[in-house]
Amino acid sequence: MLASARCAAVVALAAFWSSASQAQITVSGDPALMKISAAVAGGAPTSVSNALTTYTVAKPASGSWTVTAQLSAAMPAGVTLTINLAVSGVAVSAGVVTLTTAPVNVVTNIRGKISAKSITYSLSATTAAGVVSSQTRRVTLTAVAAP
Amino acid sequence: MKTSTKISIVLATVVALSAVRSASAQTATQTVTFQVTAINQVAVTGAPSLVINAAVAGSAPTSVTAAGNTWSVTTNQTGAMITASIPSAMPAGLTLSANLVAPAGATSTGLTALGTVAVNVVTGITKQNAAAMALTYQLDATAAAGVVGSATRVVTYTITGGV
Repeated sequence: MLASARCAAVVALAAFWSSASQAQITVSGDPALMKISAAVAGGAPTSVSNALTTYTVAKPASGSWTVTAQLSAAMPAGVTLTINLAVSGVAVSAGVVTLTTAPVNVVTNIRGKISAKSITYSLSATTAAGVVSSQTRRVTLTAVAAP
Repeated sequence: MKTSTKISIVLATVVALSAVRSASAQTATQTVTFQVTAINQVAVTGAPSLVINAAVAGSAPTSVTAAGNTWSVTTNQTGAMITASIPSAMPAGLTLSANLVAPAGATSTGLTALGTVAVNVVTGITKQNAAAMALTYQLDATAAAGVVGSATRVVTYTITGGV
């Protein structure tokens, strides 16, 4: 009796550890170059968007997850990068969020699996930003257990 | 080891793993590549009509102006300029001029006669977008020009980027 109870506990712990260590968030790849190259005379440069990549979040074993996003370095002055993660009915999207070097919530209250939902990036610039040569920023999406 | 002690160890392990799990976080990264190229755009509104049909006796025919036209500009460069030209020369004795109000920080050349060779009308436009600025045309004629039938000229405005 005691031996079988011990075995059950070990199996439960193994499953528990496995679920804790499995990937909780993945992305489909990197978005293509985002290039601002046009404007309507009198207006600011025309923003560009990319919605061709997706993300997947595993179903939480218990409780809920929150996904945050942050940049590896600040954007150049006058240039803004926003992100918008689509969700299914098992979570709440924060909508369009401006990315900075500080993490910000982009999806909250994740209570089920989110599978291959779109990530939309938008790049905008003021005329004061001037010409900006090609640069990269790493966007880190982090899935954390909600408190 | 007593059974109760073993159970306590198992529970302690579960509690410890729970703490690890609740603090777990997993990340995914994307690399975003971006660029802003040189942008220079100019646009105008209006299709002015100018008719000279009066004079003060003893003077040249009275010049006429056409207001209510506008122009707009966007540049993300420094020192952009606007030039203007017409595709064919004006009839002898007639002069068509344009006057563009400059955006902040830029300089207008004021009322400037137009010809087939492009001339500066606004210079020093730096990293700004400005819309619906006033654009005025003026038509002057000498008495020697005589009677001139209705004619048109397309005025072409060109923005040249700075640096």
